[in-house]
Amino acid sequence: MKKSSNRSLENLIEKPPFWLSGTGKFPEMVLSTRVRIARNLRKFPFNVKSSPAEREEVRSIVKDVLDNLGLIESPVFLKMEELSELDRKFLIERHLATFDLINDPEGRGVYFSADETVNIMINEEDHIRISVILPGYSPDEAFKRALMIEEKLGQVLDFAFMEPFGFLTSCPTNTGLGIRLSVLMHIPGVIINKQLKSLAENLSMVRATIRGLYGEGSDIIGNIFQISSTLTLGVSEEEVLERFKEVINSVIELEKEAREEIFKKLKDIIEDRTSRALAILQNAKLLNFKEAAEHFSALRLGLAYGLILDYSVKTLNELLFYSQPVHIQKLIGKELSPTERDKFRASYVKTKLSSVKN
Amino acid sequence: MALCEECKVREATVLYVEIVDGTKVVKHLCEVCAEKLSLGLPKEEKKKKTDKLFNIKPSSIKEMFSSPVEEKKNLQCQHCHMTWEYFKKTGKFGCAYCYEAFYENLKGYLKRIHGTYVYHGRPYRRKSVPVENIIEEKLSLERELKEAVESEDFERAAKLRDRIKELNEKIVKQESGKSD
Repeated sequence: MKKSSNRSLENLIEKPPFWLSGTGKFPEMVLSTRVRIARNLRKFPFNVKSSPAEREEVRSIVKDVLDNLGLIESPVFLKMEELSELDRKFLIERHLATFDLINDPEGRGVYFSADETVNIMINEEDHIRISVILPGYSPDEAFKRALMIEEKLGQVLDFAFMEPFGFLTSCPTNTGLGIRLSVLMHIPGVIINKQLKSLAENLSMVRATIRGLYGEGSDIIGNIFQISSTLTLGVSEEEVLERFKEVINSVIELEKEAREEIFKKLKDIIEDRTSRALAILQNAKLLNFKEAAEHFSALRLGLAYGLILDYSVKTLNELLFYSQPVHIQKLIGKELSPTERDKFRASYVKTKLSSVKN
Repeated sequence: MALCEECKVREATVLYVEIVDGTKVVKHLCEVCAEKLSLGLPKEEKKKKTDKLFNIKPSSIKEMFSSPVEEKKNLQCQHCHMTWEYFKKTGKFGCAYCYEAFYENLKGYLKRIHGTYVYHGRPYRRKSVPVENIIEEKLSLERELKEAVESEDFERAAKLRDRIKELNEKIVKQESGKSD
């Protein structure tokens, strides 16, 4: 069967997710906050051992419960095996799927709210992965909403749980609470100040970890990083939240200090970089994603310094996300070669920058 | 038996993940080398550096590695047949029952990752018959219904439909009863 492009995905490309809206606290520095909870059904083998048929059964049980509970507004449900390769990759860029969800797609799926605030991946590494993603720095709200969904599901589903370990997950790093909080942070100050290595070391000492934009094993893109908590045992849910907030507040302070220091020392260079970034984005004929992301980062920083007044955080968020390789192809509506992508990306960015002011 | 990548003498029992200039580096190490590497600097100095950056009291930071413990050999999960050795190699459990099968070894293993193996979250108690039992029944009835319709056995199909409707109501009732 030929996998045609999915209808609900066509709707997605037209409307950016709510978490890109540039609202919430410190939206320029903290793009979004995510709380993810991992759960498994006791009776079914975990996904390193599951067969496609077993995964399908888990998927229909979870979907049925979600439909019946009605917790998620205007839900969209997608079965991974019914999507084209391009659409699956589109979901990854959209943070609605992961590599674990799309590799060997049979029996896996995602259930999410139309505004993409809530998503539930079914048969990723664990049977159930609940995520709530909100714009800006919003840990309390995201935490509350994710736990609420988990609680409702846990009342009707038989979650794998055992004393003294807590919730049983496929990977022992999640055992216990199975909760992970994370933020997507733009930290050019830390990078320019060459503090990334020491930040990463310090984070690991306080049970947090830093990764690239797409999570585990991904590249540095546009000075944007995912910082997440790794605490799941020996602490309560609320303690994890409080500790995470302490850590992120410290990173925010660190980035602020770095930015002040840089601006004092390198004012001319920063101004030059900002203007050049804008000039390139407005005039380039070919733009690869990594280069575009670097210039967007310079614009974000320029915005924070008050050097750029014409564009909002929301616009810069959208530029970054819609410049991703698969997003560009979905915008054009067909598969493109890398060079064609660079061409369309350059033209998309140019148009968006000239049409949108703020 | 895989040897530690650092000393190349002792058995590698720890998956050590490090980020060097933004790139993730994974090493298979023994506990002794992992401890050395994780500390890098003398203990006190490193902690002071962290305190300065994060403003968190050293007492609240638990030790990452405990002294090596004796491990039971030849443990195997009767449900999914995962062995302890294979689990250590992949770092993934095969099913929920692995946790029981590996119970004794797991305490030390989790302690090395998390500093403790004890859950401190809110208690978890499901309130009634797991809804998946009802849904499972419903799914099998739906399959039967499809067959009945295909073979034009409409009398049976009608009965099945009634039964599915009942189950649907049961699911809704169970779930709405809990939205307190």
